[in-house]
Amino acid sequence: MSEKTILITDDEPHMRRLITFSLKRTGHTLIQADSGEAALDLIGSQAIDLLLIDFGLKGINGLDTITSARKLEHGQDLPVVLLTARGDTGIKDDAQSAGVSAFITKPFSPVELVQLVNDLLAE
Amino acid sequence: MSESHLEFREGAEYDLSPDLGNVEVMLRQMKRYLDERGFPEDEWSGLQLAVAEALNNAIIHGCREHPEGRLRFRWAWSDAGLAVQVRDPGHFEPPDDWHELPTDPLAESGRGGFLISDFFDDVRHDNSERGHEVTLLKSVSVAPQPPNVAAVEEELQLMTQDLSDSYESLAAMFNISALLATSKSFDEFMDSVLGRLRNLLSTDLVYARLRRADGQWQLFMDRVNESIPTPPDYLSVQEEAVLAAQQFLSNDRAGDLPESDPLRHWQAGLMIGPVSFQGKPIGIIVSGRGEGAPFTAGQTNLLRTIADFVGVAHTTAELNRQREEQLRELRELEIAAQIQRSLLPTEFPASPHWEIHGICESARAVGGDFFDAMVGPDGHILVLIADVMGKGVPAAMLSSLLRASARARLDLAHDPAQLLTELNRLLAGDLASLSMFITAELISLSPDGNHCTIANAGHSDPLVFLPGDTSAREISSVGDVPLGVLPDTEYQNATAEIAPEAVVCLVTDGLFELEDASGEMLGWDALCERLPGWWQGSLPEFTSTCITSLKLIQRDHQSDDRTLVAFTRKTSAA
Repeated sequence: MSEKTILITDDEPHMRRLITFSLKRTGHTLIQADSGEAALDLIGSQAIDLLLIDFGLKGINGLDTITSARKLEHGQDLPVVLLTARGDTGIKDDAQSAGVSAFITKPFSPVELVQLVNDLLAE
Repeated sequence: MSESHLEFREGAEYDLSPDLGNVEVMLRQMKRYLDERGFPEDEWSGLQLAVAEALNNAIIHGCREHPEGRLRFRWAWSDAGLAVQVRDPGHFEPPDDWHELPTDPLAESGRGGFLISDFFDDVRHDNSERGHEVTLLKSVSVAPQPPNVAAVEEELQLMTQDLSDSYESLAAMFNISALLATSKSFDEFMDSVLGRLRNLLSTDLVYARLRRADGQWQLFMDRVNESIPTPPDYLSVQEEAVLAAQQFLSNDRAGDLPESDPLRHWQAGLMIGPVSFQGKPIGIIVSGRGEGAPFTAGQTNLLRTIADFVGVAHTTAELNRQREEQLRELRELEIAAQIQRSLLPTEFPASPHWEIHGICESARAVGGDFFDAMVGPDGHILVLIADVMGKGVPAAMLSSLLRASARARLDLAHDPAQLLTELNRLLAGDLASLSMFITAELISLSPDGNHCTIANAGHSDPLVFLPGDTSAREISSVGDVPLGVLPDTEYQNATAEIAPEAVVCLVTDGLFELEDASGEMLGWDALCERLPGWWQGSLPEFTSTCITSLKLIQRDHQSDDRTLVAFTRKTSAA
C-alpha cells in the first residue's frame, strides 16, 4: 500500500497522541488538527486520504466539520472515521448522511483502529 | 512579582480529594517538575515545608465542614518567579498574627502560617463562593530551563503506551460486555471472545479450559488456521501449575519446556492466565505464538482482563443455568399439580344406597395421593384410593395412567381383585423402569347396597364406625404387595357387610403418620379413636372436619399428602 495522509482531528491532546501512537505502525503520514476550523484549513490546502475526527469538538463539532469539508475540493470524497463517545447514539443517521465511512467509539481498541484504517485505505 | 504568575500556563494543575495521602504525592510531582527545569536544590526543603503546610491546612481545616469537597492545587514557574495556589471549599480569614510563631513553644499547632510566610515573598488569601484560595509567590534566583526534551518525550511515549494498553483493555471490556448481552449461550459467547482476543493479540492460538458444573473440563478454542494443532484433552504441567497457584504465567521461553510438553510449540510467546471468580479457580486461558515478537506487557494485561471477565461471565452463566433449572422444575411441578388436580373427581356417583365423598390435600405442589369414584356398567360403584411412591411429574403421570387404566376396565367394577391384577400387569413395566410403586385399594359397592368387595395392593385397611361409636375399626382385607412390585401378583377379594348409617373411611398414611406440636406421632390407633368424634352428620362436613382437625394437631405443618374417601350406607333407598 502506498503511503497515505491521515488527518487526526481532536481537541484533546492526549487523544491525538494516542491515535498518532496507534497509527504510527501503519507507515502513513499523520497530521494533526486540534479543532474543526484547523482541520478545514488543512483539507482546503492539501490532499488528505483519510480524516479521523472527534464528534464532540469544541467550536465546530465533528459532524459540521465533515459537512463543511464536503464543499471543499479535497473533501468531497474524503473517507471519514467519526470518533464518538459512548452515548452519542443519536447522530448515526446524520453522520451517515454526511458520508461518514465508519464509527469508532471511545474507548476504542488501538489494534482495531489500525485494522479499520488499513481496511479503509485499501478500498 | 507580576500577575503573570497567576496565569499558570507553565505549570501543572491537580483536582484532589481531601486526603492527606495526596500531599506526599503532590510534593513528589512538584519536585519532579521543578527538578526537570533546574529549580535550586537548596530552596526545595523550605518550599516543600511551606507547600505541605498549605495543603495540610486546606485538607484539615478547609474541608472540615466539606468532607466531600475537592481541592485545586496548581503551580507555575516562569521567569517572573514561582507561584503556588491552593483552593479549598472552606472559608478562612487569617488573623493578624497568622504569620508569626505561637507564643507557647509547646503549642501543637499554629506554625503553618509562619512556615508559609517565612518561605514565600507574598501570601494572599481570597474568599469567594468557590471557597478559600491561598496564592503563594516566590522570586527564584534562576529562570526555569527547558526540560530535557528527549527524556520528556520518552516519558510521554511510555505514558502513551500505558494509555494505549488501558484503551485496549477498556475497549475489550465494553465489547465483551456487549457480546455477553447478545450471545445466545455461554459457548457462543466464548467463541466470540476468543476470536476477538486472538485478533487483538495477533496470535496463532487462544484457548480456554473451564471446569463445568459436573466437574468435567470444557475446551474453547480459536486458532488462526486448521494447521494449528488442537490442545490435548489433558492439562499440561504448566497449566496445572497456573491453576493450582492462581498466578499468571507469561513465559516467552517455551523452548525451555520438556519435549513432551504440548506448550513447547509456542516458541515466540506463551501466556497462561488463571480464570477464577472471588478466589475460586474456574479454569485457565492460554495464548500461544509460534513466530514473531514475544507478547508485550499490554497484551499480557489484556489477557488478564479477559481472564477476569471470563471468570465473571462463567459464574453468571452457571448461576443462570441453575436458576433456569429451578424455574423449569417449578414449571414442571405446576404442570404436574394441574394434572393431579384434574384427576380428582368433583362430583361423586349418585346411588339410592350409597353416598360417597372424598378430599385430597397435597403437602407440596404435587403429591402422590390420588382417589376416584366411578360407576361400572352393571351398577357397581368402584372407589379407588392410591398413593404413588414419588413426587412431581412422574408421580402425576402414573396417577393419570392408573386412573385411565381403571376407567378403561369398568367392566371389572364388580371384581376389584381382578381389576387390580390387570392394572398391576399393565403398569408393572413402567413402574419398574421408574423404580416406583403404587399402594392402592379398590372397593366395589354393590348396586343393592348390601355389601362391598375390597381388594388391597399394599394399602392400609378401610376403617368403619357408626355415629356414636368410641372408635373406628378396621375392615379386614386380603392385603398384598403394592402395584409394580411383582407383575404376576393375583390379588384377592374380601367381602364386608356394611351396616346402615355406617361410615367407611379409606385413608392414606398422611392421616396417621403425622406429628403433633410436641413431636409425638398421632398413629393408627389414635386416628381410629378420633374419627367418630369428627362425624357431623354429613360426609362433606365429616371429610372437611377431619382434614381441619388434623391440621390443628399438626399446627399447619403438613409434611405428607392427606387423602380421605368416605362412604356411607344410607338407611333406606331414596
